[in-house]
Amino acid sequence: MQAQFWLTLLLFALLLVALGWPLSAWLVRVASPQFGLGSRFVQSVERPLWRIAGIDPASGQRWPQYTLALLLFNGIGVLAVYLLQRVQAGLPLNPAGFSAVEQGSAFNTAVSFVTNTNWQSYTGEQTMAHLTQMLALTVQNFLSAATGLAVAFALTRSLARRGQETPPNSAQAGAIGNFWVDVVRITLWVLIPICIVYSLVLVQQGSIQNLKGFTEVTTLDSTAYDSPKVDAAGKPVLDAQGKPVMDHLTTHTQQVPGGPVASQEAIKMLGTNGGGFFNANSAHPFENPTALTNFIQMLSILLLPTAIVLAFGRMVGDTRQGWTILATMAIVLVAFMAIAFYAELTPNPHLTTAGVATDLGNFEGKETRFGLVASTMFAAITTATSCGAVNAMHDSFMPLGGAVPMSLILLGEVIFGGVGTGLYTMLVYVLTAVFIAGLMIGRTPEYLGKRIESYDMKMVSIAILLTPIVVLSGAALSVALEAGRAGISNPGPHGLSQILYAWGSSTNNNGSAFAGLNANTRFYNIGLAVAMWLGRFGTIIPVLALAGNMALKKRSESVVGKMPTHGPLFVALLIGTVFLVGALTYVPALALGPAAEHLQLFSKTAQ
Amino acid sequence: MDDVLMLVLITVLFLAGWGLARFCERLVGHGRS
Repeated sequence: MQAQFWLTLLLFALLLVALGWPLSAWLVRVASPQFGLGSRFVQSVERPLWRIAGIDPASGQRWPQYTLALLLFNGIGVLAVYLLQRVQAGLPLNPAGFSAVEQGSAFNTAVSFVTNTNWQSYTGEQTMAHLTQMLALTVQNFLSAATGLAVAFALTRSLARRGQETPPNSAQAGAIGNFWVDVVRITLWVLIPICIVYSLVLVQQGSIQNLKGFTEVTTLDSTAYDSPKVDAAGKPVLDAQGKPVMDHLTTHTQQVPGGPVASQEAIKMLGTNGGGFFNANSAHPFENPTALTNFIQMLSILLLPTAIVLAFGRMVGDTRQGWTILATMAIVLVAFMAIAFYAELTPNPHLTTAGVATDLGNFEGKETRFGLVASTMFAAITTATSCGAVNAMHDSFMPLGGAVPMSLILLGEVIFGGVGTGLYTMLVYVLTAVFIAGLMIGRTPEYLGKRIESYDMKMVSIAILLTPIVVLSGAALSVALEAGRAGISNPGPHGLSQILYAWGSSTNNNGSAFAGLNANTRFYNIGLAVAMWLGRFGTIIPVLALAGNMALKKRSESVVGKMPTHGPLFVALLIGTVFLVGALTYVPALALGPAAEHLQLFSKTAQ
Repeated sequence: MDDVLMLVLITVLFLAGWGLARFCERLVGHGRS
């Protein structure tokens, strides 16, 4: 099994670079203000859009205008998704006749999909009408990914600018791009074309794509189950001890859900969104039917985060810069993947003692179609990126195996990260590394020939510090308040892990759930939604401010006496910075959660 | 009533974002070295 793990990883890496490199060249073209000038087709599609929206595609925005446009666009997005969920009962394409989504859950879902988090406190196939899935959730999957990529374009442009393109007092001085143009072009010329092909591949492999409701089918075997008995008013019947009276039932039928799954699945993965059509997410055979689709899904999650990093190197005129960041991300991801794999290869000692066959490692909560290798790789990839899809239950991983997805999330989604978000958050860490190194060697820190000054470091500090403040405050509140503790299904260290994971996943816009925590309550629905918003825009806004400041600076071409920001030494410095700044913040909380659980589990066996 | 509360919350989130942007903008004056 170990050989299978490493061979799969090697093939995966080769394919990722082979696809990511040409896509990075395309991203550079899409990010350019000259995009489409020579193409009649592009012009014929875009020109009517600019005319209707009243946009001059050649006009750049300074960072405050860019930020306002981005905030308005996302604010309206939240409003639209919320209202669609609230009125879905009266709208078409609702074959199962679902009623309006409860207000707290609708608010949480609206913020969740707009911020690219896709935390789901609802059960998709039992809550959302097809129209809501398509018009609200899938549309936001495209637009939130486009927003992330747009911010990455803006920061990259500002670092690539030489500062002499426009006179200092002109209207275009300090421009970092045009938000409307970026979002339209990314959606039209990057996301939609790839998703059309991707959806068809998924359908060929067995994903469903229809507008049906539930279909009743007769099963090959009968199923016996217990169900609470209800009275005429629909309330559970209780016995003398106050316990619910159960009916023992047998059925020969099953309700199979339908829906436009493949089209949502494609952008769910490509856009690192992660919100499943079904509650079981990528463990459901309609979302992820075969081992091949599982491999393609993992590849598609990392495709854009890889391509944008390589595109960054091309745009700043030094491809080594892109490769350096990519190498940093890859080293950390492979290390975490290996930890998760070997942790899961170790069986649960209690099961071994009980005589359960555990030769294949810890199989609890894993889909047998995928097994240990594909489950642990999937878990690491979807949490290193801000995807948050799951094909196995992270709650059932061994304590150290579960600590891997949690730690990758808490690192701040910089290891590949979300579409665009991974690059711009990693660049924040790059500036921190350069700043620290500058202090150590006693020189003015410079990145790509631009001096890093006090204002830049203030923006970097806000971007780095806001997320852990929200995560740790939220987790502390949940532990302190009865409303927070009520959601825990396991007491002790595992309960703390469930809470920490929920706040970490929301604030870092990952969206995967540890499972086990009942988060569909007013406390968690509102609290986690606020965390998602603060995590998303608390990073984007200082990054755009940083971009605005960088765009005004002149780029020095001299390399004499400058610290190189490429090569193995800088990779080591960057990894050290990410761990020192990003991970150490959470060490006490991780010690009380997964670390304590691991020690408890194995010390009991020793007794 | 709950719908009104949620719409107020959405507005507050938007304003929080805009407030942070204004805060970052104001820091420019104090940050140039």
